[in-house]
Amino acid sequence: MTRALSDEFRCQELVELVTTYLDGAMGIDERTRFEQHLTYCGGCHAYVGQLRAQRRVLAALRDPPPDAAPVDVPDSTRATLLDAFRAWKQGRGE
Amino acid sequence: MHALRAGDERAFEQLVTQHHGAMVRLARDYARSEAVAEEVVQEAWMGVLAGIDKFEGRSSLRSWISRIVVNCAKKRALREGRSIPFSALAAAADEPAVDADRFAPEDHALWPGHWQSEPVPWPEERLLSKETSTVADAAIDRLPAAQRQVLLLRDIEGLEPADVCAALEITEANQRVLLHRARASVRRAIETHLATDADGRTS
Repeated sequence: MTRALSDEFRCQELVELVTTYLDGAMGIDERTRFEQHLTYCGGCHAYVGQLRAQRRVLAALRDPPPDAAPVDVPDSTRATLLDAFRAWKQGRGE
Repeated sequence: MHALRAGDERAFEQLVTQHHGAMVRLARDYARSEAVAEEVVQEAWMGVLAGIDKFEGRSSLRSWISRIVVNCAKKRALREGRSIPFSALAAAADEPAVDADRFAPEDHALWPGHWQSEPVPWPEERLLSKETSTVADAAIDRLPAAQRQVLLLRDIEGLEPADVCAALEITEANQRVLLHRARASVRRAIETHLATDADGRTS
């Protein structure tokens, strides 16, 4: 935030490009300018860091910790699926 | 996976316990009721069984299963005349990722468009706490359906962008807009949560 040259990103623009950046979908020029901005702008650096951290939070939702309550699968569903599994197994001639 | 193919019932039950909830959550955006979402997921499980011998592990098992769910859910919605035009929904979303008042105004002498109220790094310990997960989960539930679908498939189910585009029949640009809006909303929710200390005061 120490300089504001005309060819540089404004923070307000940069935050709208973070998804493109994290997906590796930026052209090389834009990417270079983006990363240059991050080296001197603490706010944007922190912002991108937050989005990276958020991906870890969301990835953790995928596998609940072992001590979490078991996911609620209705008994009738469980029974139907097990029947289907047995039928599938039989169908394969086992 | 080996046990499953060998017909081990326990392995199948484990798989169901592990994935069923996430599958229902995916199916909900297409279904007119919770009961229909359950039915769609049961149908998806049949698809999983039918395909398990041919599953080659080129993607993760999880992302393969979620693609089957989306397929079943779409077919069902189509049969009921409830197709969802996700690409049209993508165009409509046009809110900023960060509130405009966090940045210096246009007429600022030195730094227009630069942070006035800078984001701060998130404390790792609270970030990975149960409370933060709950906040993120609730934020996902509040998203518009199209944004939620893309976020669930990308950030939770772990699909590649191209697979999400194929599953939802949207362009890469649409996919990115939806993901961008979705992630920005979840980020705002986490930021607000983490800015409040354990006693409920805003720092």
